Amino acid sequence: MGDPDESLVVQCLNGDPAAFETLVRNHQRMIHSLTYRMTGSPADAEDLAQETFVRAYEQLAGYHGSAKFSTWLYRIAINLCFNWQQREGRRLEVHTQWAQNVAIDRPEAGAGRADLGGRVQAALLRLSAAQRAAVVLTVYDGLSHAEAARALGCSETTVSWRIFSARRKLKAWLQTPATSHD
Amino acid sequence: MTDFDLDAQLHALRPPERSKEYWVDFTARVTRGRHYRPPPRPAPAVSWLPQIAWGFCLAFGCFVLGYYLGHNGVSRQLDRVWRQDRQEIVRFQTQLSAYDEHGLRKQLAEQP
Repeated sequence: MGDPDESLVVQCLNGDPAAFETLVRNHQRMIHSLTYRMTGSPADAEDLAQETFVRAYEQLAGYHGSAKFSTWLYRIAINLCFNWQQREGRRLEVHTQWAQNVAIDRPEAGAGRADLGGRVQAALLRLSAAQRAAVVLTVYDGLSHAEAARALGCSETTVSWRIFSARRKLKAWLQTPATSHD
Repeated sequence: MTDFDLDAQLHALRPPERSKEYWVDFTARVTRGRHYRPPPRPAPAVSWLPQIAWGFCLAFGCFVLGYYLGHNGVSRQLDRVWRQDRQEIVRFQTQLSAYDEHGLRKQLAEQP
């Protein structure tokens, strides 16, 4: 069964604006989740998500259907997140440190799950952008290693190694101490 | 920590909840952003023909110039060398004919 988005892409290239709006609605939550987990910032995630779809519109003629439309869209979003990472390197360090401090200083505050979410976000931000992208695509978005490799523009072996390395680091960072609160 | 535990912890990270109005407005913001951008223009085709033509003309000019200079210069040199060689040969023959029967060499006056 072919990609259902391909017909929408064809309609959009034929000048149907509603087709592109449908594509946006179909994938906006997915892209928002990706950009949020890559940046840790809701505001930046919104900007990057919007930029992703604008770029996708501009480059729509370059989509040849060799991969799923969602994979192609992921690739645009990931590249924008990498660029954001390079621009915001210093600010990211501060944010990561803040998130870690919140998790350390307020172990009893709020729901445990919310606090755990902050710790997970801080741990993800400590990973390299490439490792973070591999984890986000496979763990949260359910892509296979092969699909993630197509989205990241690298080999499947590279993706597998990045995931292995990232998971090892995340386990070390997220290991709950023996004296942690419930 | 097992992989299962790690996945459970990772899934604790959820993106912030957004209202329905946000998602409707997001689509509108994207299409608005699209309208502000100029439509993508195809890249101008690069033609190598003028450069090839200029290169050919330059090469041909250099060839003609080199042939003219080289041909004339070499011809003159060759003529000079050949003339010298002929003179030497004639002189040698003249001198050679001066050897007498006893093997002594007597140089006679060179014949014109």
